[in-house]
Amino acid sequence: MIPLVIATAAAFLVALGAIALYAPLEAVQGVAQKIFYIHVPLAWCAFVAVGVLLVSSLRFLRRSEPRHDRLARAAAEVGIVFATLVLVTGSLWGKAVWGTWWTWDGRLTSTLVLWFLLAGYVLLRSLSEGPPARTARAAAVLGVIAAVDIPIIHLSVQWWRTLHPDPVVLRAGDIGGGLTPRMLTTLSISLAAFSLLLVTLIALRRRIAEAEDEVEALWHLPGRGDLAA
Amino acid sequence: MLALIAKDLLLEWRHKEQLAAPAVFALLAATLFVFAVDPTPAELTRLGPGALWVSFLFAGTLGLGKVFAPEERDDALTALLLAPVDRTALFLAKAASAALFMGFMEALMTPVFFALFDLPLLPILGRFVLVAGLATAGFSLLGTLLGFLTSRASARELLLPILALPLTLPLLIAAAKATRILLEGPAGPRFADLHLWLTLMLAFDVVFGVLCCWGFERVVEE
Repeated sequence: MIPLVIATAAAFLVALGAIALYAPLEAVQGVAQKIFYIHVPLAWCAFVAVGVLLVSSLRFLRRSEPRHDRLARAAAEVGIVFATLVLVTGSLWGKAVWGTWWTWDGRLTSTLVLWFLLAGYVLLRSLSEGPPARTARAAAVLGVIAAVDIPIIHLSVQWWRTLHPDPVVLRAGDIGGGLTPRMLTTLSISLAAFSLLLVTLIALRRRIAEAEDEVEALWHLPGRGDLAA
Repeated sequence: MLALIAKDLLLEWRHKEQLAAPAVFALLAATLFVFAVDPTPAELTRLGPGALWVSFLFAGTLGLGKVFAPEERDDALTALLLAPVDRTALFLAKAASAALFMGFMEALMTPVFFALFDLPLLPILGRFVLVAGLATAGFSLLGTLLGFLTSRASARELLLPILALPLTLPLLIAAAKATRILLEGPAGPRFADLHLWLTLMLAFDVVFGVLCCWGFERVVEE
């Protein structure tokens, strides 16, 4: 675990250095464009976290091994942190470049719905009071359903906007198209650093989940019932 | 399966006021919307469908919480699960009862809404029933499963809408768009998109019909 944390910290030093010093200043957007190197990797990580949630939920439903459930729990909680940061960094960039904090554009809106789905998942886990095994199964089913729903929601939101009578004033421009090699290198470094951060956070959260499960098991040892009261 | 639906309907009939509560709530939500927005008659054609469907879905989540409520008492759900009934049939029966309750509320409130918003209902009635049927079916399927998933949670009255409303967002978008297209008539600018929204809802219903049956079986096996 400690080597992973050190590697992540080192990767972030390199990535921040590259963003600040190596990446060129974009002609039109100026320094605000540099949020891009943070925003895009964050979005990538949020979607990877949902992928991990889907796969580990399916595995848990098939095998009922607690480790898959802990991984799903960790991925969802880390995913919501990343999704929040995607919305915040996107908002900051939007204010600087588009002149508005928020626009009801397809991509932004889908990300917001993704945030709601992850929040719902985390809330279901924390508010459930039944036996932990049942909570885990319920959460796993929700995880699968939410992950399947995300592309459908994205499609419907896309149609909602593009088929809207009012013209879309502000579009998330095709920023990926005109990247210079230096920009691409910086983005790759940043992507690697954020991916490492994602892995580290999920691994740490999973270890905490293991400890939680151990405490939970001790709590339910015979003869300990009076402590719970 | 029919027996299960009949049982739920009978229970509901014995508590008629529970059936009326979501309808009153939906009406109240739409009334508040008009007070808050203060739309002109022309704006109501544009905003009405959205207000109608938001009210229906909010009222629908109120009804969903009750789908598994009668089975909580005396652990009747365990008895139902022990009965020689296919789990998929049990789930579909529950979803069908939920859809019937919600459909009843909609049948009651739709004429009232259209009258309040001064919109023409009769010319579009046939197609509106199709839109409402597709939206209600999908919402009831997902909502029934979510009602079961949240049945052991504290604050589940709050948790259920938090889960159900974002997950069924495609239905809200499609139903509101389709209703507005119907109101604008065949001459409207978006009439050709109608089949697109209907197809989206149908696909949603099929995908989540299968997925919810699958999910229900995975959660009840203990």
